[in-house]
Amino acid sequence: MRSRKLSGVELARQLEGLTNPAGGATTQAEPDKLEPTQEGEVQPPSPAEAIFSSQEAEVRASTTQGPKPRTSGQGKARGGRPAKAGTDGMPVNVRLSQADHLALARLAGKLVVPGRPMPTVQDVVRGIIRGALKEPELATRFCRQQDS
Amino acid sequence: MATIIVLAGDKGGSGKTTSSHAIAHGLAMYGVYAFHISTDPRREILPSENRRYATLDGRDPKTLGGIIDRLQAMDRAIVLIDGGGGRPDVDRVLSNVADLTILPFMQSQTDLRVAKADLDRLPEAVGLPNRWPTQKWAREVADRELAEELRGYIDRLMSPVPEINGYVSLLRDTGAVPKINPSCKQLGLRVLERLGLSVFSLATEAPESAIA
Repeated sequence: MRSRKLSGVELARQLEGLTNPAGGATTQAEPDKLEPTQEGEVQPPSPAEAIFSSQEAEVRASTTQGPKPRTSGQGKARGGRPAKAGTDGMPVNVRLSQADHLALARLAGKLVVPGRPMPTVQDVVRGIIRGALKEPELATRFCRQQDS
Repeated sequence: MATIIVLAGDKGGSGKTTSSHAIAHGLAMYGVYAFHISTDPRREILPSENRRYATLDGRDPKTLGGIIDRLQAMDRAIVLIDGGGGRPDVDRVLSNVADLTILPFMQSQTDLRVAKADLDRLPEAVGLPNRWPTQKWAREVADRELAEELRGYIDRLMSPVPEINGYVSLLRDTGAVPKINPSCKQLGLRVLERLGLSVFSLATEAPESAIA
């Protein structure tokens, strides 16, 4: 162990005596060699202050910005099988009765093709909508019947 | 009088900050009063919450001097000063206040050469091989390179610290994850032994909190 250590005051004096205590790239002039400033003149910040202020500005900028818009999954292919609803497909949460679910499942069962994956309820719904778009009058009639 | 340990070294990214926090954490686990002072103006001060040791801001020389004076008056305390990289002049001054100056370095040839220059510059400092490989052949290669580059400095080297998963948690606001406690304690003990101290002479509280 060392027998003689610097005191804190001596340490501070020696660190301040270094040309570059803060690790910046510029050298600081000694305080007593600085010319007196004009009243109201703004002193340039020390290298350390400059670093802190720039960091603060970055932090402030990052915190004041709003949340980043979500981009994942929307408008771009993510690899694997192509999306059946297209690259811009969006999920829709539709509440169906038990009977409607059963009807869709039965339709899905009728659509099974040997050697192909089992159609899902989503496949059935997509098929109904695409078919309805081809026959809009029929689709409109079906919807009116449901209301009545 | 407090014991002051400085983590220095010219090269950045060699593990000065992480090692200093690891030592402070490990010693605090043994009930030692440990203080961590960061002097690197490019780093923010980590909060003391969720830690067993205090983190202090020593980035301003006057503040650092004041802290050192106050802590030097404390008995049974260990003060870890993180020097920050790329400041050889600051390292030299800080080593004058230290009981032990540790120069962490990693396996790369650049690190070994910088460590050699640092060991020449700071004749009382010791080197700490950091994130040393544990896999057999990688360890052999690392040891051989170390023996070649630092041939004349072997007596001034501490035993290597292996790569520890979870060390990065020391630098998070949430504090260290429990699984690194044994490694930190081991490192703390190794540093104390280098200083000729033991936890028995420093511990200030019952060692029940030291159970990992």
